[in-house]
Amino acid sequence: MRGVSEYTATLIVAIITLAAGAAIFIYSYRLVDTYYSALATATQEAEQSTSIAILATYINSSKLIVIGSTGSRPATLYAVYINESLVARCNVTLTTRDAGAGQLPQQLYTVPSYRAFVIVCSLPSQPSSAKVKLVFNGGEAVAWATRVR
Amino acid sequence: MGVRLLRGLLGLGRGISTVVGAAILLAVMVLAATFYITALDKLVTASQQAMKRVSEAASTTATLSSVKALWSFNGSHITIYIENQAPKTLLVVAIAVVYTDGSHSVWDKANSTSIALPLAVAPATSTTIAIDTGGKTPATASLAVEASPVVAVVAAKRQDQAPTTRAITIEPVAPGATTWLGKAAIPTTKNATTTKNYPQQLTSTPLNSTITRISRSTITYTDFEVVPVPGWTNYGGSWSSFKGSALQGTDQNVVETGVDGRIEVYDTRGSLVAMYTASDCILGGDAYTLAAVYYGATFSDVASFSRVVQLFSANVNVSLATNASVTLRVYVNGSQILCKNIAGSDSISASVPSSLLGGARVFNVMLVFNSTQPFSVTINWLGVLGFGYFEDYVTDSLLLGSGTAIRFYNATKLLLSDVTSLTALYSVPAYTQFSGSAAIAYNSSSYVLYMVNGSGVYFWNPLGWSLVVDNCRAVGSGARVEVVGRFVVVLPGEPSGYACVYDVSRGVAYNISLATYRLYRYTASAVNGTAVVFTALDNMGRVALLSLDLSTNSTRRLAVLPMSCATGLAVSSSRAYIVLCGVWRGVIGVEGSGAAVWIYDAKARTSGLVLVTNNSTVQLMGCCDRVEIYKDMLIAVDTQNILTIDRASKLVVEKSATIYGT
Repeated sequence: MRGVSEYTATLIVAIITLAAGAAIFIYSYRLVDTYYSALATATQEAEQSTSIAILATYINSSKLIVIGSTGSRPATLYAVYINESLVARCNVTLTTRDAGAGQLPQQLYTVPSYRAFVIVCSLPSQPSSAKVKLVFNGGEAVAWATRVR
Repeated sequence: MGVRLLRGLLGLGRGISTVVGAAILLAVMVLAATFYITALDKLVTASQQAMKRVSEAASTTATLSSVKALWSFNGSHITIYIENQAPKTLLVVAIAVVYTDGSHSVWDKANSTSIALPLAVAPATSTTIAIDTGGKTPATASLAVEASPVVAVVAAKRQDQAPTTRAITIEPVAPGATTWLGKAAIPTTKNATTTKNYPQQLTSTPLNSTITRISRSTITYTDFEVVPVPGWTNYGGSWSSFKGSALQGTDQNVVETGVDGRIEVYDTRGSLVAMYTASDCILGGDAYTLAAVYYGATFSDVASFSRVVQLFSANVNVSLATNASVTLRVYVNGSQILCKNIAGSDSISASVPSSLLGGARVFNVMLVFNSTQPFSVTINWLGVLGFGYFEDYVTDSLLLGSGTAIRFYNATKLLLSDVTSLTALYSVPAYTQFSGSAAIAYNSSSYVLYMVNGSGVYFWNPLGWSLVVDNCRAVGSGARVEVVGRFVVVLPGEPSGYACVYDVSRGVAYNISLATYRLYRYTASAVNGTAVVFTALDNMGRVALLSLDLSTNSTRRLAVLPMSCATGLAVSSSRAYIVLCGVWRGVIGVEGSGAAVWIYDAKARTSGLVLVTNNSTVQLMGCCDRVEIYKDMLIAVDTQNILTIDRASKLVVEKSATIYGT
């Protein structure tokens, strides 16, 4: 019986050891794979993200004018912030009226690729300068606007 | 034996345990190795992607920082220079220009009529874009440049260049010449366009024919009573006349037989050519002939003017030859303007009455020929010669009064860098000598040229000169005239101390005293809004820059000038430019050659002398206000050249100088 018990014990220990090793391996592999997948996805998203360039921002009388342009991918404009405050109403137009006009932030406005756009916002006050943040689907673009008139 | 067996079994158990343990250890090691190899592979792949991404971002940033952009403005166009110093091709996606008035212009692929966007700029290349700003002055210019995958902005830097001079050759200019610059309708003499090629052959056609009876003879007949017609009843009687030689007769039983008659001849178009009404009657034996007595031919051509602002007169000129004596009538738009007998070859010129010219742009000219005999006409040429009309060639013009004529130059040509000479587009005989006592000005609203001389103020249009007012007249050298709205302002010159103003709308002239200031031989003037800015001597003999406001009839002094001899004066925005005569004797603190410009800045309330390097041979010698400013370019005239100084607004005072009169 003692001999049988030794074999059994040995077998049980072996099974437990292998099972524990397999469990640790699977857990560790999943952990690494999760981080890898997340990193790969982030890198791919970064590669395919939209980009916007702000060509000019200035304040003319009581209006803020933001002139921007898209690159090879369309961009969807969400909102305009002035000094970190959401502007309630901004009109967006393209250089030609083929895409119609839009109003931010009530309507999301998608600018086609390689197109310039002009955003005109009414300012409640008339600051000499302002920090302008344009939020779009690729992130945000920040510029400073100064008064020209 | 039993002990041996037990020891053997125990050894076997240890051996199995050893093998199992070793297998387990091996499996664990394999698992661990597999895990680390896999994990390291993933880590390496992820790191490579991250490094690639970081490298691209850094590359894009480096690429965009390698783009150089500069812009300059010449008064009408903004020129943007883009240079790609990066090792990859860039794409200019959009251009935005913000103007000083707060407006802006944006160009992209949908709004790029003058620019092809997106614009690829290859590595180590540059490109230049010129854009018409429509008269606006740019404040900033920026480009959206894509260096895949990032689009970023490259702000173009303004490139200010030093003002330069350039000489443009014109026809010789006599001493005492004077200039005016602004929008003017340049008189143009042009032939009207016609629709036909010449010569044209015409053959007459009968217009008026007559029918005459040439004989009357017998048609055989028999009295009804003698040979009754079958079926007819004999009532008796006999023929009373033309019996046996005509159809007509008077039967005692037939009344009004064969009386009266008319012959009508029609042409193939159904038009009545001739008609004969018999005074007695037409008989069957009559013979008639159709003969033309009146021949005619017509010819028409359409001449049309285009771009006519105002037409004052026109002539219809015809060159023709005929083989018979004919009468020619010339009609213009249905009205006869000429009637003349012609035989053989002839050239005719007929004036179009002014009643037919008002608003006319199309002239339908018809020539009507009549004769009593057949004829043919060869029209060698027909045309409407418009002379003395203002074409809508209204452009920025430089008017130069020199000698005894006033020349019209196209000032826009002065902006072209490759223009080295300029020819006058039109010359008006002034019948007065420009020697300092005569001056010119132009009313861009009514297209009227004004001239003042010792007899008064005259105005000119292609019909000729007319006296406007003789109360305002030049009295000596330094006389000037300016048009300020409805006022014609005359500065009579030396010696005088007043300005004579003629109100065109009211037709009255009056003088405005200049108080202690006296006009002198170097008086120069320019219009600035509702005011005339001019130079005069104060009671201390100094040259003062004055402003006479026509809205208040008041004069105020702007500055005192440290000089005497001036080629002329021009005013732009808040700046007055006085270009000095090119004789540098007596100039202290100024050395070398060049053009000297004294600048008065009303906004900054500063004034001073600026020296501009003059590489040309032009020497500005004379007086009489021969300086103008056009699109930020100073224009001065010497004896045979126009000297231009560009970027006038960039002229800044470099050094002070004391200048004594020469």
